[in-house]
Amino acid sequence: MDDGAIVDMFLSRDERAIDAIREKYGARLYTSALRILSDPSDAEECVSDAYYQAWDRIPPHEPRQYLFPFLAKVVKASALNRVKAQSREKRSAAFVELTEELENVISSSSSTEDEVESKELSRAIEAFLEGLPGEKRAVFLQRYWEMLSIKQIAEGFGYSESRIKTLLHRTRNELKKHLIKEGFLQ
Amino acid sequence: MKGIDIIEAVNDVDGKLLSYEAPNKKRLSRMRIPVIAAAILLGLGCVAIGAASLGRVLGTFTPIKTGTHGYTASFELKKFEWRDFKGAIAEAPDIIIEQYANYKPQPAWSNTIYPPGIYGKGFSTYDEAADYLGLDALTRITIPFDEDVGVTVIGDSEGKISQIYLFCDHIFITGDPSTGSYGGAFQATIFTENCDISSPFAGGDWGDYDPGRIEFGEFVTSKGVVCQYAEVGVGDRSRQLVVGYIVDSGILYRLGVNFDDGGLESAMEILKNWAEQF
Repeated sequence: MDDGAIVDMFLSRDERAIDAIREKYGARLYTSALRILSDPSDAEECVSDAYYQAWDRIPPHEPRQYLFPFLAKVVKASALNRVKAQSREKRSAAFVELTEELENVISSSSSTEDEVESKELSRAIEAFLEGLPGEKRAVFLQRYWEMLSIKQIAEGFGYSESRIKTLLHRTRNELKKHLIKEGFLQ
Repeated sequence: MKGIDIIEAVNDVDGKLLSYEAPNKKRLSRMRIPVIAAAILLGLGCVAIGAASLGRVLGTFTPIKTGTHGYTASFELKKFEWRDFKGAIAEAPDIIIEQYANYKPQPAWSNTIYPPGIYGKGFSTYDEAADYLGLDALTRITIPFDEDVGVTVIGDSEGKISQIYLFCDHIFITGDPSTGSYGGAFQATIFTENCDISSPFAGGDWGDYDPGRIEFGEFVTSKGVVCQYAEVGVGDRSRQLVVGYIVDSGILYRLGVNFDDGGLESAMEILKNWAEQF
């Protein structure tokens, strides 16, 4: 079913919209959650939460052109909250690897504040992404938003893994410079 | 600022920006976790324990940060064919298919949200749960806290079962009266041919406060079975944990025992007695 039609079902409060997103995106959303959490039942709950949050958020949102990102954001926010709020909760190995990659960049600088205002940081990263060339942005987002492995990204682009690693390394360094410029790092 | 802050911030950018043009991705074949030689792992700054022994594949352990913040563990597990399960679990595909067919979204305020694709069953003993699975490869053991045993089954809308967990969790048992009581958790992890996830998992994460230490070790049972374990001292809270892992016939068995100061010896004894059953 077309995303626009699914969003229309939400807008008309048709409960079959939930079935539609589950059928179309359920597996991908579940995979998204599992890239952060290692416990399948936790991942299932995050996806389930996303269905009901979509029901609550559409309207006012009308994500006709970006329904999957809209849903995936909700799933990941839920998974990240679990990881942060329940520090003993298990994290997936892939997620640990991702955070370490980013921490390697951050650790060579110091944060200006211990508690970074998350909305401000998001806006700064949004500006950074908008300034990236299309391919670089896609690779960066596949790695740090879709949380794909280097191998998966390389296969998708038809590049070697080393090329993707180099590209990501450069992009992380550019991000670091951007965050220093914006005052998030010193 | 931590890495997770950036990942969270990336997730919070405008959704329109996230719907980028990406190349068509090829479907990946199932990823398998290779058994990596200890030397290679050490070269990567990881910690590897042991080598294959008696036909059993050992796992690899990687501290999330050296000495702190928990660890991840990777094991290569067998993916069993569905026909290998000969017990009453044969009902599972029909149950899962029916879940999907009859699923009705609950109101957002409902506390009874239970998504389709997963169901649990409780049993009185490990043996009852094992009978339900009817999987010959599953080793019959006695869990130190044999009560409230459960099985969780996960499958898709076509009734293809992908993961099965046999567990006994968060049960407190009385240990040596001189050292107090123990909390423990047992889980057997079984993957099927329909499982498309790889088999590394986090062995623990103490994110906001550091464990005092994490040490990895192994011991060999009288039958020559190697049990790998992680011993974790959690900060200054005087709480400690030892988690043992055995992969037998492609199934991962894990037993975790919590103990208080001075209880390591008794906890290890519980672990060793458990391991002797394989």
